[in-house]
Amino acid sequence: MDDIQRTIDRLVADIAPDPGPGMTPLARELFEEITTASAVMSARPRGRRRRWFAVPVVAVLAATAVVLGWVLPGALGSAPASAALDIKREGGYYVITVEDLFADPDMYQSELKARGLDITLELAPTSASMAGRILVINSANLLKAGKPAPADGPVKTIDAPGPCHHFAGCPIGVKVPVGYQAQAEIVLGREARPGEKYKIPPGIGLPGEPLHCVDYVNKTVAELVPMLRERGVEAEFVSYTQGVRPADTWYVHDGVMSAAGMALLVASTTLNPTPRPLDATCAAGS
Amino acid sequence: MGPPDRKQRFEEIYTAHYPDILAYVRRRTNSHDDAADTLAETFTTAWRRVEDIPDGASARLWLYGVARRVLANGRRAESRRSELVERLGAQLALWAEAAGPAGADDLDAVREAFRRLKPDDREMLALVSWEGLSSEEIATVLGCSRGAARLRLHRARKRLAGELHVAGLDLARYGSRAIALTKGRT
Repeated sequence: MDDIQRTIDRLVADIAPDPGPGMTPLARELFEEITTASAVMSARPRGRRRRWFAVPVVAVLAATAVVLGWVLPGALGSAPASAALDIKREGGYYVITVEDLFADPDMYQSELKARGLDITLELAPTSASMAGRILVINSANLLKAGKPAPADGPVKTIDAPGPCHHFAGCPIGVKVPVGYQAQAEIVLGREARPGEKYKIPPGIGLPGEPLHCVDYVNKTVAELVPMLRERGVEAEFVSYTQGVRPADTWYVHDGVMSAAGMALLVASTTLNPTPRPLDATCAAGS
Repeated sequence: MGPPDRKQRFEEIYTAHYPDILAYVRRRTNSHDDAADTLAETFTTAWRRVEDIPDGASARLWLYGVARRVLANGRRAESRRSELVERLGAQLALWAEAAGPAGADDLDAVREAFRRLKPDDREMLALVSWEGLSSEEIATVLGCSRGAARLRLHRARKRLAGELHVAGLDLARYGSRAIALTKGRT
């Protein structure tokens, strides 16, 4: 390389814009989101924003999943015992709604199998506020094999007509293409038994959870413990680095309820520079 | 989630190259939100295709190639931005504010001349001087032959020298032979 090239290259190097903050705790969070819950980011239905519903870093959900509201039919138990599901054919789709949320899962299964659909239904323990929610997991067979799965699967939810004020959307059922061959899993939230771990851990600040409308982000571990105890909640704290336990002086960034009366919170040595605005969750109601 | 070794490999790649990809993306978009989106999409693609990522230092070149394509695809759909990615965009904006505007030096004329170049020329020069890549590595990122990369780089340098000359910049200050590049040599 000659001098001229070197001069030009050095001049360009001198005007290099700032490289940015490098590896930050937020960058670690992004890593976790991509590897454990990236689908929560990419699989949301288009056009509807659920800003603060993204599952926090400590979320235990490991599969491509969309958590959605599931509206119970008006009169529980009034459905005939023989029908756990209502399955109607509309054009090229089966439109499926749950008639009886408390039916034996085998019953859902056999009704779906009868239509040639390889869809499993599972009841997952969760908090009272999340009971009745549903997870739709498309292409479950690919995910189980550790392979990438399309973010938007053919199994879709149907929203109730009219405006929706629920933070998790207002679907009333799912829509499955007739002849759908791939596997899908639908997980229905049910209230956990005492001591049972949640399979759908709700954010600790969500409506109906202990710290709803409580400004807890960036409080220290030592400050938060009594706040939770007052509400009958025992807390476990984790850091962004596996195996490293946060000290009392660390700042809490986020948290979920991991079981009834049990919280799992993530803390860091540094403040969360952009805590989620409190009013966003409070104004949304439930 | 994939098998543990898959995640571990991705973590190594992520940790080693995140700062470089962040710098690459930040330097090529003025919008902090777009930068955060591009970062998230680049590494999401990398996670999906972790088996395709080459070993060693080539991983960085592969990631530059992905980031480049993501940027070329334009603005990411808003509905795909998670709450975390929004926070990342806000963090980058804060960082930029704290770092202050560029230009507290005598290089404004150089910046101006650089901005007048075509995007392809700017990219060639930036890959050399900002990312520190050789013409061989640039060929890998751009997916062209080494000869083509060398030629494009040579032309880009020549055009910048020309722009600097037009701007009346005293290249002798930086190296007298720089002016010779603007005259006659191809």
